[in-house]
Amino acid sequence: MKKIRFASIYFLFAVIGAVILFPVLIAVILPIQDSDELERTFAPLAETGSRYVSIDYIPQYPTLKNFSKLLLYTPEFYKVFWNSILVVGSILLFQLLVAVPSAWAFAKFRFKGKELLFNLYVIFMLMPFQIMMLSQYIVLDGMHLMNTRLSIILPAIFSTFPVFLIYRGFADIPDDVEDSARIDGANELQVLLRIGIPLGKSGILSCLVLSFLDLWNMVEQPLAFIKDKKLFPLSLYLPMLDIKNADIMLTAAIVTLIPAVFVFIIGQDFLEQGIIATALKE
Amino acid sequence: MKEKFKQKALKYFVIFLLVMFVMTFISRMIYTNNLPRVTAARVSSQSLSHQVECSGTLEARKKTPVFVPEGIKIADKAVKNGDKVAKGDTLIRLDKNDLSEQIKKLENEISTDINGGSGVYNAGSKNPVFALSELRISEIPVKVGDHVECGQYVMKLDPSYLYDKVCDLYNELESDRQSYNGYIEEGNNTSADAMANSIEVKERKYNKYNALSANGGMIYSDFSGTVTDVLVKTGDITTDSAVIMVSGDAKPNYTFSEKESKLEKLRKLAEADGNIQSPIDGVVSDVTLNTGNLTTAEAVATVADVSGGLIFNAEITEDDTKLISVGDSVSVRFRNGKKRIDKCEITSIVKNESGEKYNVQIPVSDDELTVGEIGTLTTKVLSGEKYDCLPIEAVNNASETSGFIYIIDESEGFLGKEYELRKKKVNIKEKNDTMYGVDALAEADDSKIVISSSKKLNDGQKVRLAAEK
Repeated sequence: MKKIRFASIYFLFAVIGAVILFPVLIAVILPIQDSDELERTFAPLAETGSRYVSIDYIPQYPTLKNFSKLLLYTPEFYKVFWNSILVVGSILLFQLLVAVPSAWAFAKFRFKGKELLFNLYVIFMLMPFQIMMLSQYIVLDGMHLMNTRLSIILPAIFSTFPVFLIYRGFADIPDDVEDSARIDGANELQVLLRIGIPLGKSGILSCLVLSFLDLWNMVEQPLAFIKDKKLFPLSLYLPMLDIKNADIMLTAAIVTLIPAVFVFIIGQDFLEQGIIATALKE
Repeated sequence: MKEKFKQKALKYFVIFLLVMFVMTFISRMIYTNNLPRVTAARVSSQSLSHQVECSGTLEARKKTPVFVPEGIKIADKAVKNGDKVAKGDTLIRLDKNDLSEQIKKLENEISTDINGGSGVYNAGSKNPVFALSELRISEIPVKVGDHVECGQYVMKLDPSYLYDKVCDLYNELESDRQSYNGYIEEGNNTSADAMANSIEVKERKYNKYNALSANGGMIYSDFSGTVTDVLVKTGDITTDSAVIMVSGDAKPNYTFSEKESKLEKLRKLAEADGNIQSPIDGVVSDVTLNTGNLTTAEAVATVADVSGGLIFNAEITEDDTKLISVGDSVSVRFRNGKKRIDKCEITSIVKNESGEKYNVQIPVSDDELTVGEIGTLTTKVLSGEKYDCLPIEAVNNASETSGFIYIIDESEGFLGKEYELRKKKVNIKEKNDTMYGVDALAEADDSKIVISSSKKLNDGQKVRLAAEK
């Protein structure tokens, strides 16, 4: 009886897993279809009829031509790819420079209004971009930063979410460890660098992984603040491709996925630790 | 284990980024290589300029042709085309012997006529054309049925064969002369006399052969009329018989009075030692006959009277007549453009004899220029309407009325400024050598159009803009 129950649970999860994986499977299968086959597959989308798209799960003429077309003959893909890398890399770097000292201060210092300020941080973290968009737009326009990469980078640097995430890692560090460092003559910066960062590494890295995944896929900010195609990130490039360029779109989606997958694999442990720490302690 | 996997993942991620970096350059290079490189020009709204350019020659307003009776051999030309001559200057010298022979012949004919002749010379009868015997024929340019003029070249003898004959005769003559001297020394007068007669005959023959050789072996018709028989063929050896028969014209060649008039003229020429003199001061033109030729019914020379002014004569096409008309002012350049005369007025435009072209006459007054100089008429005419003007090379598949062009649309793309082609049909209204005038394109003032490309172009294609003309 117990075995049957386990089996049925496994089966249920297998079905749920398959359903979740289905779009990924399609994303992998479609780019290896020949462009003619893809055209036939997506024909119903271009027509105004009642037909639905039907996919051959085993391509009739599997080919890597779409990859060569994207990687050899589509230079704009590289342009947007490096735009994304530049924007995300800059945001992550400066985010850490801002968020780590902030989180350290919230975790380890006592000052007037700390609770209120931290609560404000949490409230700002909960606010979706759509609410902040107009005010950000007015500020950026006033600073003449519209249609520049800084219009995406600057607001993201001062995001409150990393502070919250790193804060939990720092809060776990016992005060005695810092005090012993201070007794040994370390100043506050040395305490942060030698004690805080190494011990709160999991929080920082989980913040990096989560922020990377979030920023790699951000659409609203560049859509709202950037008009020049030269500055578009990958997340805006893919939606711009129409059904005529389905081969490029599907292949680009796969290549876009690769950095996110790598970052996830590399930071998976830290991500888990960070999330667990955040969930348990607050 | 997990740590190793992570390290590997990190390594592959770095490799992935490096590959993407390298591929960025490779894809750009391929993209650049595949893009057609085009040169562009801007559309301009303006009147279309037409240029009329044609060559012509300067001629005198008044010309005096110089006529000489037909069939007399020319001994020498004293002038050439373009030479300035005064009244009485010798233009051409006639062969005195030939002239005196012609006079004698004509006197005989007249006396025959006076003694009951018909007054008609060879009317409708067949007249033989003889060539010297024992010579090889190399060319017969006429055939039965051809009309020939008196003095027209009808046959050519092999010059090398003729030369050999002349040499042989010369050698024979030399040998005979030595024999003659031998007979004289021996006192054999009978043989010497016989040899002298033989030498005389051979000398006459030698002189005839020599004259023929000097003339290039050309045989001329002594009559005007139609060739009725060609009695020999190329390669034949001539005999004493006639080689060609020419029927006389149906009308009498010369009436009695005409013969008298011709005789009068010939006598005057003989008095002037066969010199044909210029009737006026002027410039010689149209001297076409050469030494050895026989005079024809045509003028032997024309003397242009430059005192009355010069006229530039040029031929233009029918299309050009739509652009210029009588009364228009044009420029005429001479001496490779070194001499330019502006504001010359066109006085006449007349269809020429062929009916295909038109003769334009423009009076030119300049002391430096002379008759016969070649010049170029140039003038620019602007179209009445303004058009969008396109370079000829910009219009593809151009017919008389339409064609298509590629307009370059500029946009900001992922890689910076991108240029995309848009095909557009144009209606051709007018054209000149370099431009088409087309209906308004309804495009922005700074729109660019493709005038040349490194590759075949298509609508919607992206291109690389190389230069703008």
